[in-house]
Amino acid sequence: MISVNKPEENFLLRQIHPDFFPDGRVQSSAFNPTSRHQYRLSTNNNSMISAHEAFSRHLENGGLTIGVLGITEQDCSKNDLTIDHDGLTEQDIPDDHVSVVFPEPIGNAGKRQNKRMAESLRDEAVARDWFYKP
Amino acid sequence: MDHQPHSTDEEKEIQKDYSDYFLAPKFKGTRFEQHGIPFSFLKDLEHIEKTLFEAIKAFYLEDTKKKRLPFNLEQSVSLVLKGIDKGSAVALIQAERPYSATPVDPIVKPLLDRAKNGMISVVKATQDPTISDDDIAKLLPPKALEMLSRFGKGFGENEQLDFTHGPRKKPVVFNKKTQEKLTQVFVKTSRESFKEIILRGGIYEVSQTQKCFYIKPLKGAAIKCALKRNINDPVTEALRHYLDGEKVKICGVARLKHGHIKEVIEVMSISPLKPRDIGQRLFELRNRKKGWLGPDSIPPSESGLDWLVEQFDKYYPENLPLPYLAPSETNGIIAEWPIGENEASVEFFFETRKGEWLGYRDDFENDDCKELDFNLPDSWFWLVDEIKEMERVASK
Repeated sequence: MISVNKPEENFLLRQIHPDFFPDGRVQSSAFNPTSRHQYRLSTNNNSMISAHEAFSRHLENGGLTIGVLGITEQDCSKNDLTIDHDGLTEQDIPDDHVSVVFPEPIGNAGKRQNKRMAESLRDEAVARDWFYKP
Repeated sequence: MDHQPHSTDEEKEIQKDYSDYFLAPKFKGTRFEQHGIPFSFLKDLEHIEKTLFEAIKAFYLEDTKKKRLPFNLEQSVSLVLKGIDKGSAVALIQAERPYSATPVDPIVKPLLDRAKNGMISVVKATQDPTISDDDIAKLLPPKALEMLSRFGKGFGENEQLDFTHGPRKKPVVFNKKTQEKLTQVFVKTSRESFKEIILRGGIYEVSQTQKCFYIKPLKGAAIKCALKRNINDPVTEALRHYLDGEKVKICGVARLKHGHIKEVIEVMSISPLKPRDIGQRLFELRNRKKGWLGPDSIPPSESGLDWLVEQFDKYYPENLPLPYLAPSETNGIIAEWPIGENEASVEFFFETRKGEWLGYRDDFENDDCKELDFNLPDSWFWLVDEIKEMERVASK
């Protein structure tokens, strides 16, 4: 089990679906939201919930996850991605919920751009290693 | 003065009664003119016996509703060439208990007669253009029909065999055309075919005496495969590691019936599955349910996954790096190739069998994206070239 406390920075915790972890490698798809999710990547603010708690709650809510990775707001801004602390403003989602807002892709160039941004977030997150992994 | 024409030897033979024999087929043609049957043809005659045996076995199981044959059924009867009579050459064949020259077991005799009549009816039916292939196939059990279709391959153009020659009997002739017709009937009605295949699975049993091994494929029932000396070592090795979950990939030629693999008749290569093997990975993804990635998400279809495995097996060279595969939210598959510093991907859409390449080049003028129609081999060739190019760039 890996359980890391990294309090010095504000991290956004991302649950990794087991299907996006083929042969021990995180797919960029794990960080690339689609139209089904309105191009918003769901994360949790680790200043409000620990990686372990976020993991357990995700499973309790019927989601699947094999572990938790973390990105920073800086990782997002570097890729021109904005952050929406929607948990603080919307009623039916937890307070700690944060969305990373991707642009709606236009044509192939847009898709490729989104993929590049997802790859970048994935690479940063993987470099930091797991925040929690049973 | 007798004005009646003299009977030839052959005509006299025709009048002979061979009813004491189980079968007395008459051979005609150059090779049989000297009242003999060439040695080379005797092997062919064996298929008659095999036809009858297969029919007996099927009739027994059908009549008794049993699932197993008595162990001595096949040993209880033997066809013996007792002699060759003139005319051109009449093979005098008797059905006996093996090694004893005594009559066949009374339980087996009716089955044997039924098998013989079925065989002759099939040959007769092939001469009647009004009888369909399906109706011909109903006259004998499938395995018996298969054996009969192998008989007569050695016939020359003007050679033939008459099963029921004699007075007041309409000839039932078997010649090269009959053999071709029976092959056609068998292939058509059994829907049997042969195909090069790739199988993945675990080897759980090897029989050195029967020269075969059994593989439990990732999907479906166990399949028997022919074992030859050249693959003995890898097969044994795979068997040893079966309980550790080791799986192998087999390339070979299979006999198919109704589109399903019945057995692998020749194994051309066998190797342990590589990490990220496409077939293994896509098999793991086949049991996803609706909602696998949140409400309304639909998993990749089984037919789509099967198609993708088949295409990779067909077009993607063994020596190229395998991609990492994950399901996509568009109900297809995303394949990612991280090679060196670069990464490229293809999203496969199963409904259209098309895909979208997102390349690794940061060249905005020549946008490294491409829509590909994977129904076309050219798209696969293009993809393979791109991956080769990525490898080349990475090795610089």
